Amino acid sequence: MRRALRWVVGSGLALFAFVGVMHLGPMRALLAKASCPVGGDLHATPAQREATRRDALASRRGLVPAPAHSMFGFEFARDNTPEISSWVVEASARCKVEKAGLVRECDAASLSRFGVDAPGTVFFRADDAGRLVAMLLTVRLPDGEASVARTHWAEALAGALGLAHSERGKTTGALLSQHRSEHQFSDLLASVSATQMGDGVRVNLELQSL
Amino acid sequence: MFRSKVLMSGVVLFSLGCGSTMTTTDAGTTADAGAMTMFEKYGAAGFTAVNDKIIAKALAAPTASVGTSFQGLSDPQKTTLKNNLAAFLVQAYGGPANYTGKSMTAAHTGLNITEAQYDYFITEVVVPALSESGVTMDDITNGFAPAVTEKKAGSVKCATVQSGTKPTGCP
Repeated sequence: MRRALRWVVGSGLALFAFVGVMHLGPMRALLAKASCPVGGDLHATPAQREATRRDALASRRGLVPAPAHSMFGFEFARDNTPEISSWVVEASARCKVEKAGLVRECDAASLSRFGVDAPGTVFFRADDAGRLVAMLLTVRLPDGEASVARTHWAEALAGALGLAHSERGKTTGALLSQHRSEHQFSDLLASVSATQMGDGVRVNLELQSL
Repeated sequence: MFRSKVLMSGVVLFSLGCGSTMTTTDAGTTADAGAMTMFEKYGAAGFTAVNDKIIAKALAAPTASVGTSFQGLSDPQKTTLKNNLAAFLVQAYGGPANYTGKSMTAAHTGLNITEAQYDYFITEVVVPALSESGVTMDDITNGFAPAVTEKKAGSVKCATVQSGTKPTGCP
């Protein structure tokens, strides 16, 4: 009887300890993989975030490499900290770095470096090694000025990368109407879009390396 | 600061909250009584396709709130996000009311989302997800846009709260 009792208590303690250990630190990731409802507080590393970005872009990848990997004085796949710092000073931009440390969002009174003399925002995205992997230029402008900006950026992309691989839509006065052109290479995606937002047109130029 | 702000842009951001605090959304349905809703027109399959594309594009975004914060989600979180977003979209566009997540305003409060990040979500995530899924431009403009733009400042204002201040109406 006492032996059975000892076995039950011992097994219970062992099970208790096992469950406790499984909910500690890295073991929680195993539980999450086993579809247990844990993992809400697990945070991905910068390398994992970068891998997720690339995976999410994979379906849009083209077949041939891009003919160029630099634009507006910034070069992809290497550390651009000096160039970014120089532009920040040049444009008197105000920047903030997001929590994960990968994205720098800069507001500038003018995006003249990028051929658009209007206030706008530039996002610089780095990978876990500090290399530039994405850049987004974005402005919101009245219809006429937006058309000029979109055309300028589309021509800049065409000059560096050749003709766009796809082009669709038209920006009209209708809410969320959008013109979009895209370049799809095996190592670089680029797009220019202009979207009617109701109180102006949002024009974006996005470059993402793969 | 944000006039004509797009409500749906916050859907993904708050979906993780998933607290069962409300059974209604801020968006409302898209059509007058008697007219076909977007859910009736495009069906569950159409909404699933849009939902999948929104998630994929959000995970690829080079920005912060839509972008790295999404990329930082664990697999269970991604599943929760996907399910909540689907439930919200279906409910907001005339389908069954099964969404139990937080209200827009509550979910956005304090996220420090900038106008550029909001607009990115609409212009580079939502609109392409709709058009690539076969939604016509007329339906984007007349069917989807009104519901996502008619509630203007509320949720966005709360979303952009900087630390220390809380605009009127934010929880």
